Amino acid sequence: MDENASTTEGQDRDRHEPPTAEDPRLQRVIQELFRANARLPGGTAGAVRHEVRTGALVGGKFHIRKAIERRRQLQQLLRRVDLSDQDRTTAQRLLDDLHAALREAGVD
Amino acid sequence: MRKMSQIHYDNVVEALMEAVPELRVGYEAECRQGGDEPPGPHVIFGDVLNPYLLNLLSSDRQDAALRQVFQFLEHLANHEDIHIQELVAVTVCERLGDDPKILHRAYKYMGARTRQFSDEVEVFWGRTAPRTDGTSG
Repeated sequence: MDENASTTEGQDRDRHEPPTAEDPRLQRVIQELFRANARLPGGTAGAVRHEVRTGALVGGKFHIRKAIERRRQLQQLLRRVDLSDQDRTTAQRLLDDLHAALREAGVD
Repeated sequence: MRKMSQIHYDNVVEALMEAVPELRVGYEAECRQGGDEPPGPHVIFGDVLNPYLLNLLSSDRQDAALRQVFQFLEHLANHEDIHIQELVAVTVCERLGDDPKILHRAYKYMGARTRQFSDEVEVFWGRTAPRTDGTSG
């Protein structure tokens, strides 16, 4: 691999840094959704999109069920009144992204 | 540990609690926070089992506890239900691979099928190149 390719990969990773949250439960969700040092961006939602668009799976296994269960968890989190505005925005973005990826997979 | 035929997707969390009773308190706390609907298995494996497992793998000893957890994971990895296999692959193995040191230590305890899943996950996320010799381990 040449030096330029390596630099581009680094920039790619920087562009796809996962969000952070003050709320420990939301932060834990983020840690579970996003993979460190991954070349595939977008965390679990990105994995679902990748599976749908390319047919590439983890040895025949999908991320769809994980995405569905995490979507439900985020919906429950958003019902809480004690989330900061910033965390609420973060959770809503994560939820929207999972929604969109699941729609692409044909799951409502 | 429950027999394979007694484990289904809708009771796999209960099977986890029986195999690793140390998780019970964390599980109950997660259920209380979750509201009306119980959290799904991916949430419990991710938010309750993973922190426990990462903590064990970060400690110097804990051999017995690690063997207990990985024996159960191998049991699930060999289950015929693909959704149960997914818990091991896309929730547990995926998370272990976030830290190369942790993953390397985990290899020592993984059964053959769990190790296969871990290798597949690492390739999927582009964290390692696929092997070209036809083996997965």
